[in-house]
Amino acid sequence: MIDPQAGIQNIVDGQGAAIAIAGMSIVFAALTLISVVIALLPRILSRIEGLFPEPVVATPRSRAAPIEDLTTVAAAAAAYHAARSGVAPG
Amino acid sequence: MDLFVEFIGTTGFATMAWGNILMILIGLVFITLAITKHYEPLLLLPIGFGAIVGNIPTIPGMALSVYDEGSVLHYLYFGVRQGIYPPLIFLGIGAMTDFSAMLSSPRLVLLGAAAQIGIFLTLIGALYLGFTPEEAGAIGIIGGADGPTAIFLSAKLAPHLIGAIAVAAYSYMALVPVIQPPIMKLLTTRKERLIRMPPPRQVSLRERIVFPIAAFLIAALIAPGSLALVGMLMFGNLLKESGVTDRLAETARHAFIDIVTILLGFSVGASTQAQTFLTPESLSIFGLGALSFAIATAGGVLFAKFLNLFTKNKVNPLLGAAGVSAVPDSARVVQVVGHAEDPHNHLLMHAMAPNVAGVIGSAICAGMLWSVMVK
Repeated sequence: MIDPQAGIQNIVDGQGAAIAIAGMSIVFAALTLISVVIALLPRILSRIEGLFPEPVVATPRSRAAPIEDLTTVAAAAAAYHAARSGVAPG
Repeated sequence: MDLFVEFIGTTGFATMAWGNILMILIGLVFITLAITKHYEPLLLLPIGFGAIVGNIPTIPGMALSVYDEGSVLHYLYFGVRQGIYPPLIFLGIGAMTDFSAMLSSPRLVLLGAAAQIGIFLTLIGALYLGFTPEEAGAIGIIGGADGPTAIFLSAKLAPHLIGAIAVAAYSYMALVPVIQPPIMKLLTTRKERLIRMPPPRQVSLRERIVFPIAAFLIAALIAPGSLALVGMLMFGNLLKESGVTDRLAETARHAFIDIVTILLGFSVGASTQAQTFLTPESLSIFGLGALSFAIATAGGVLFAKFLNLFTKNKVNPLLGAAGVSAVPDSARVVQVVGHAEDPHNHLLMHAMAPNVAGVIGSAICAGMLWSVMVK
């Protein structure tokens, strides 16, 4: 069983209250600052639009391969097959 | 025959203590909870199996356990003992986290700060029970509801308590859906639970790219002790948001975090040997851990109610409970409790704001405690 007086003395000796107050102040200060920066960020970024433009995310193109490309691929495949099977490409 | 008798004497059956049997049973309970209830399975299963492995009696003179220098488990445990694994896990968490919800609702960030009261009141409770200030700091961080942060700070301040603190932190994180709802309901009225939040605004890619750099600078300059945790968290997030390092982000949020989670969970479990784990201190740590989660939840909810005294656009106070950084479990709990009152009230996205703010907040608290207690 803990002696209440000894327990309270431990808290005093360990600076428990001071650490708690300092800790909560620090975490509130840091997160408040982050919160303020987040709130101001859209305005700050719009001011420096020229220096730091919105990045363009590249999207994969889904066009069909043109006939010329397919012909080249077919020719390359035929050449490879011929080389592997020892027949000169025609 | 003598050889056979001698061999029998070295088997686990002959040297097993009741404490080892109890710890093996606890390991089995963890595995059962992970498989049947899906409570934090990625952590409880490795910790549970690690506890079984760690409680097989070893043979004197053979380097086998976590605490035997030169053993395989000793090397795996090195990452826990030195606080290496937690920042690596934070890298993966950063690469997974979308801070958009937080960026669209800056005021909800403060709920993540309020919930950290659990850390400091638990610290005071631990001092009251006779723990040293360093031990009390390490125990208090359980209230941050963040396993990697708890392990990181324990490794720095009270390495002999890592096993108990890690198991308490992850057990209570798994029990968030059980611990939080009664406190949330107790501290709020039905009218408050029905408050609807405005839809979050669209956040630009530029904001998401600038945020990790700005947040890291603020957190690390205010609490340099949080540098490793917040630095890796924000680095991982920048990998994700930059759009030019997709391969790195992909690795960080999948294979990398999985490997570190396996190593961390298993070696923490293996460190729970009955001889070092089953002590009165561990029981006190478990009691304080439960208290810290309850205080953190209450702190967040009450602060949301306090904010409502001054703001026109009311905050649903349930969101305060997500300020504890058990991501995304506490945000899910908010959604479930809010949804139970009004099936059309969707709080999940809003709850992610204090939830991720809580991760940053608990890392800052860990940094602050480490700074003030470092010898």
